[in-house]
This record gives sequence, C-alpha cells and structure tokens, in this order.
Amino acid sequence: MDLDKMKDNWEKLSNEIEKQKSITDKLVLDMTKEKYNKKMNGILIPELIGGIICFSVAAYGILNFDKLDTWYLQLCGVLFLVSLIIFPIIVLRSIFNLKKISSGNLTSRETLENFIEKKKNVIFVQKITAVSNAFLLFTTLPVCAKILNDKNIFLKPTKLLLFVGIMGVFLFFFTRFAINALKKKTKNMQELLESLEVS
Amino acid sequence: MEKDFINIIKDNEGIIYKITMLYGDSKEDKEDLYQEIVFQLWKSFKNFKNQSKISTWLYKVALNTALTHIKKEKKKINQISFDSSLLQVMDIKDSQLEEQIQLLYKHIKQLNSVERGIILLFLENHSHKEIAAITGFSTSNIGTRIGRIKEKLKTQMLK
Repeated sequence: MDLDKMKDNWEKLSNEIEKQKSITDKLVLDMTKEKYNKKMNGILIPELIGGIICFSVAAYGILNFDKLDTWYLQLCGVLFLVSLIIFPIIVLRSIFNLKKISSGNLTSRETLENFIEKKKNVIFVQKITAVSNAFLLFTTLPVCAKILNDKNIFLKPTKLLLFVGIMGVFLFFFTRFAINALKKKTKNMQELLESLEVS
Repeated sequence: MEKDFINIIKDNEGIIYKITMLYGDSKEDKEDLYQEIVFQLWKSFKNFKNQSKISTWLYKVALNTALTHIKKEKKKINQISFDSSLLQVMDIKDSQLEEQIQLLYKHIKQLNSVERGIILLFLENHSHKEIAAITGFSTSNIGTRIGRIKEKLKTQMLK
C-alpha cells in the first residue's frame, strides 16, 4: 500500500464513519458525568482519606506532644509530625497539579512539555515520600508507644529493632515496586521527549 | 451551552473515533480514551470562545488527551459500561477495504505518539500550517516530520 492509496483508504474510512454515526445526546452526557464522577472517586477520595488519616494522627500527636519527655523522643515526635503533615501536602499538591493540565488552548508540544514537567515533579515527590516512609519507620513505634502506653521503647530496643526489621523489609519491597513502576513511566516520557526534540 | 456541546460532539464523533482507534490498545482502553476525550472537551468547552476554528480546538484537545492518556491494564474493573456499539469495529461491507484499513491502522500504530498525531492530521487533509497550529511545531518542521514519517511508513510497508 503506497501513501496515495493510504490517503484514499483513509478517506473511505472517514466516509464509512460518517455514515455510521451512533452517538446520542444521552450518551454524551452520560460519558461526561460518569467520567467526572470516576475521576472524583478515583483521585479525590483515596487522597482525601489518606490526608485526613495523616492529619488526624498528627493532630493527636500535637495534642499529646508533652508526653514525649526526653529529647530523643521529642526529636522522633517532630520527625513523625513532619512526615504526617508536610509530606502528604506535597504529594497532594503534585497529584492535583498533574490532573490540572488543561488542554484547551495548548498545542500538542506545549501539552507534552507541561505533562513531562509535571510527571518529573511526581517522580521527585515519590522520592520524597520514600524519605518520609523512612522517617515514619523509625519514629512511629517510639512516639506511639510513649503517647498511647507511656512506654519508652528505647529502653526495650529488641522490640524496636524487630518492628524496624519487619517494616523495613515490607518498605523495601514496596519501594522497589514503586520504583519499577516509575521506571516504566520514565521510559514513556523519554520517548515523548525524543519526539519533541527531533527537528 | 449543553446543547451546543452535544451537537459539536455529534458532528465530530468520527474524529474522536479515529483518534481513539490510533491511540487506544484494547477495547476497554479505547472506550476509556473516548470518554476521556469527551470529558476533556467538555472541560475546555467552557473556555472556548471561538478564538480558533472548532475543528482546530477539537483536534488540539483530542490529540493532547490521547498523547497524555495513561493506559491502565486492569480496565475491566470499574469500567463504565455504556450501552452502545459506539466503539465496535466499523461495519465495513467491502472486506478488501476493511483489510486495508486494518493494515493502515497497524502501520500508523507503529509510529511514535507524536508522529501518529501528525500523520492523522495529514491524512485528514490539513495543511502544514494547520498541523503546525495544532501541534505547536513550526510549519517547516512539520514538512520535515511528514517527510520522515512517509519514509518510515514506506520502509514498514516494504517489510
């Protein structure tokens, strides 16, 4: 098939499609509505639930911060609170920014550049989240044990080491899974970047 | 406003269909992309103030959506079931033509996502200037790219 034949076939395809139009008013509205709801449910709800949980735990931590009576427990408390407040805000912002891309007035090139930039930001934020998880790994048990049971876990290091060990293994596999997923996305971004740069 | 939007979609459903066929993989993925394009058009329709031709705006939004469409593997879960034969393969009576169209899709799908958009606009008989306005590349760059795409397609077809 040469290119002229290709163009000819494309025109025939277009004519066939024109003849077989099937969309209805209701279908257009349903699609828009359903897509909107799906987006709201798919992005907002899990993120908001996660955010509310983090902020509630952080609020509880702040209200009971005075129970942390040694400098190292207070240091753990501060890191714990930072992980629960600052990091979720950064993550939420980056995800909302990615979704905000408005394609109405932009050209394909601008949209791709915008998209790639925001994707890079999401990847950066994922790395921050990994740091946040590490903070939480080391601080959750000491802070919670002290606030909830008035126990200084540093005086029983075996329990702390066991917890850090088990959670560390889980976090290691989880982070590896997340990094593999990111690598896949980066590959796609690379292809898009190359497409833009070819002149 | 809602009525205007519906009419635009109905008048241009063929364009959305063709973009969906070129960028979607599985049936579920195509359905999802189709809905995503309609949704993005609806979102940007509020800001569309006839500054450009409707077709330019529509191609821009639809292609941009397709370019940034993230394919998800497990589409069957939570898939919106819209009752229709909307995305079924077009019923083309001429089996030879149908075969050639499938071959056409196959060749175009081997191009990268930006090239796919450019060749689509080329096949839709848009001028280099119009393609440049939609994609954001310069007119001369579009000429170069189309030449390169033609070469690629020729090589593919000879294989």
